[in-house]
Amino acid sequence: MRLSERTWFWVLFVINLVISLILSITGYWLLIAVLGIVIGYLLNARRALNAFAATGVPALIAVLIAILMNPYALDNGEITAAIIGLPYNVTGAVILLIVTVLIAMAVGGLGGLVGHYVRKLVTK
Amino acid sequence: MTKFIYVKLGLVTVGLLLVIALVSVPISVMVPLGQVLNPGTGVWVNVPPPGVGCHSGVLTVNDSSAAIVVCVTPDGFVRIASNETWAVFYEQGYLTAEYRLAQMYFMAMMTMGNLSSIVGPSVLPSDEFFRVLLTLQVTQEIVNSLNKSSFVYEALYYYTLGVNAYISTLSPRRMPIVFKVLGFKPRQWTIEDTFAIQQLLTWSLSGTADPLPFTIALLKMPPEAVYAFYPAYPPPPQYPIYPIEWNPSIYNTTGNMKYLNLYSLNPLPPGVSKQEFISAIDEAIRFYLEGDTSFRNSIVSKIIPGINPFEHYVIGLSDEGSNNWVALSPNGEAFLANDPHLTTTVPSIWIGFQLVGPGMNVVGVDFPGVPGVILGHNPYIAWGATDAEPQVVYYYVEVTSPEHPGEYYYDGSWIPFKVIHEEIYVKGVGYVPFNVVLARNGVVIANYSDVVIVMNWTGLYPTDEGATFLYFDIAQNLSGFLKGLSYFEVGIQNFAYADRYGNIGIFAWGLYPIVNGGNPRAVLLGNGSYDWVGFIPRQYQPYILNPPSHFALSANEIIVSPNYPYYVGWVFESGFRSDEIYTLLSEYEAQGNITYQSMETIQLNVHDYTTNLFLKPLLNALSTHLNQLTQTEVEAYELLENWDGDFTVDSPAATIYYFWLLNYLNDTFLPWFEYYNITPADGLGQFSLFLGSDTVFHGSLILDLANWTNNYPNIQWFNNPLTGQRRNATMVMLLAFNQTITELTHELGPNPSTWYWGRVHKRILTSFFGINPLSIGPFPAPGDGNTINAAYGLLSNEGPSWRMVVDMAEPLSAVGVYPGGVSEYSLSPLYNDTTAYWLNGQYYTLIPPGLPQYFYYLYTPNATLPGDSS
Repeated sequence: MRLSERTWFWVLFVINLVISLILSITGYWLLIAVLGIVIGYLLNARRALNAFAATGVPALIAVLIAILMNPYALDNGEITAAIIGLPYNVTGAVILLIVTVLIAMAVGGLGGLVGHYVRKLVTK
Repeated sequence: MTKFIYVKLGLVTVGLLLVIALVSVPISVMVPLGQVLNPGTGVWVNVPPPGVGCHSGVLTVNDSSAAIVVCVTPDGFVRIASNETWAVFYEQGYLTAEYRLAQMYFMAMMTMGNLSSIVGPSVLPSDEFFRVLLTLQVTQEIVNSLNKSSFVYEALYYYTLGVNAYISTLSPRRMPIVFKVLGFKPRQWTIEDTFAIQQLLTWSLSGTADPLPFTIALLKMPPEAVYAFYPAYPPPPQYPIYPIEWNPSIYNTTGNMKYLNLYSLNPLPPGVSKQEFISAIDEAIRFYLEGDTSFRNSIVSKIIPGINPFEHYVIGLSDEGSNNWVALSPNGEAFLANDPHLTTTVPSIWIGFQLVGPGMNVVGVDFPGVPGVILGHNPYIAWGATDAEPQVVYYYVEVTSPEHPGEYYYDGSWIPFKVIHEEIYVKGVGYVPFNVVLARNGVVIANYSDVVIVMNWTGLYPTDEGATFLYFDIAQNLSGFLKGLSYFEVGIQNFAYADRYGNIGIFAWGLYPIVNGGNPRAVLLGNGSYDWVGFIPRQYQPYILNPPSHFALSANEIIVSPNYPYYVGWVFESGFRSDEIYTLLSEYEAQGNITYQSMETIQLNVHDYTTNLFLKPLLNALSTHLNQLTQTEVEAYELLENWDGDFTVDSPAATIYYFWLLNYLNDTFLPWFEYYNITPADGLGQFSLFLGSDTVFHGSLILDLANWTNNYPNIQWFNNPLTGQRRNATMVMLLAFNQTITELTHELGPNPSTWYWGRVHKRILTSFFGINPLSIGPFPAPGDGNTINAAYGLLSNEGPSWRMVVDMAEPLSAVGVYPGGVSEYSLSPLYNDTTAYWLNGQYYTLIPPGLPQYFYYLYTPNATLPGDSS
């Protein structure tokens, strides 16, 4: 049975989310790029935006979950902010948090786009 | 179409690689963002160390097993009990690493001259400084000389094993955040690291550069000014710690004073002009100002805080002063009180430990990285320490010649300097070559056009001060204490002693160098004629035991009476804290009121003894010129008139007096220093000899001023040499008063009654790592640099880093407190749980009731050790 494009999108989204979460928790978060390439290839989306969404957004969510699983995470962010010269308050922590999830989304999403365009070339 | 896909693929590939590259390259001294922000191993995952509570278990190391009980209590203490001594120290190492890993490594790395490998080139001068102190070589020599079957070695060995056991199991959740940001992975701890921390402490306790500015004074100022400003023995009031009346035996010898001239400039090497000599000394002074972290903390970080958050890593440890005393109650109970004044940081320089093992139950505070308890008590004895501040650092200018490059003239022949080629790994730069150059009489600290200045310090040679404390920990009587004391050779302390048998005393044993000629207050000629010829023999070293007064005290004042036959230095604290302690102890002894309460009252006293010397003359001067005062000045005068000299936070008079005294000092002395061309490069404003900052302002100048004000109010030194104005004490006091009121009106408003001391004077517990947001405070604070409860400077991070009072008749009731807490992790409740107690002048019972019974071992008859069924 062939899955619809939408279903396939969500299947891969969830798979991506789970694997990204595992990669994040185990400390191999930059491998999300490789995962993105694979997912982007498998998704074979018609639009590049879909590929980016299917890979970047779950990466972002996975990293956010991995971080917030630790109840001290934001406090650690504040300490880190103080060390590197950012404001020593929740703002400093949130700045670092945003930078972190944006990195995750960029790495996952750009990986997804690479996979997407490779698939386009292969199937051309 | 395909072409477009190739272009898009290329673009996103480049974009992806760019992002990965950006998060994979270091930023300044920080590791790549990809590591720092890693959700699985980066800064987000840290959790605090274990909190308050007890746990027990069996520890097995090298096929040996021991029962262990550990309790962490909310008073800043970690308590360890075991049926095996080795297990106690193993666990102490493990737990110190668990709670203070970053602190102990930063201290060791700094002292080993390796800090720039973590922090980068900004701290290279610090590394060069500590390389010059020969830490690498000295620590290695100490370890090589250890007796491997001794109790001391056992403690060091198992402590080190414990630290490394923790490191080997260190997970990302417990790796200090600061290590993650800097990308530092702690290597295995070594016994050398422990001795490096010892070296840091002994330098901070005994290192001095004062002979350098004093030589400048001899070069630039006429003899009458040197005599007047820098008497070799301080003017009264002085209560020497070891007065001849209390122990005449140490005075009954010939000594070396008769061979010295303490007011003369020493001979210069042939062909060296005074100007070249001054330039060389200025270079030596610069070496200290740039390299010694105690100077960096007090100067650089206050000028450019926050420019580079990594610039000021590791707050310089400084020792401004300390108090201790011993006293007998009317029924013969021996009391001991101690409050060492070190830098107050978070985490604290101290960590509290109670160590219980076979024959041992000691409680007190310890430096992270060092086994045992450093200041505390056991069931039999109590001890405390203050810095004795004798001169154990001497300076020489070598005889050199262009015809003998790389050599110096010594004892009649030309000898090549010994060069140790070292490389310092600097993060982001690589290996930087650095040469440590040695002569027979010291290590080279400056070379200006071949005018070579060397420094000799007793700490440049291997000694084992750590053994002292380990033997104190298990001492059962005076002879056990003295056995431990015999190991303490560098950084000489006034060790106060009290025991359960009613003995009290204070001992300042150690290596006191002897020279038999020249002026050791200044830079000596390095031709071999003025080298150390030995050390003061032990029987003549200062001590008192069971004095007739029934009390003894030390607060960094002059240690001996004027007729002591040996030269022991001259830069001591002014003595105002000891004056106050002496006064109070005399009163309490006369009343028979030697109790915990009275001892604590003395420790918390904030009466500034200088007000006994300056306030009356100031009020006299003001009262005779009331018609010349403004309304605000009259109000200020009235506040001073009704003031008792106590520096309480709600006292406006304290504020007026404090700033007035600073102005009075500056108005008197600064014109002369400018007149004699004493420059900042010479140390003006840096050393107490040259009007150093108010945090170090305890030298001879304030005593001179008190002496002149009360006894010689028309002395020439009140004149202004820059303007030619003839002045007396009254004129300068009034000038300073006018300046003070003008300044305070500008800063605090026109109403003097609102100029509370607590508005301008605060305490702060500075982040040990120099990360300002992680500091605690500031808090409005009583006291000043002259009060027993000392708080040096206006934003004070120096003061009583540990307070302890022990009655050796009831040692279980001993009390103590240090600010901060057990943990260095700022999220932990144990980071800052004792500060409020400390600030409020409260004390914890050091061995509180309610602990598992093991912790009362040797105190109560039925208490046993863990695993001990007897």
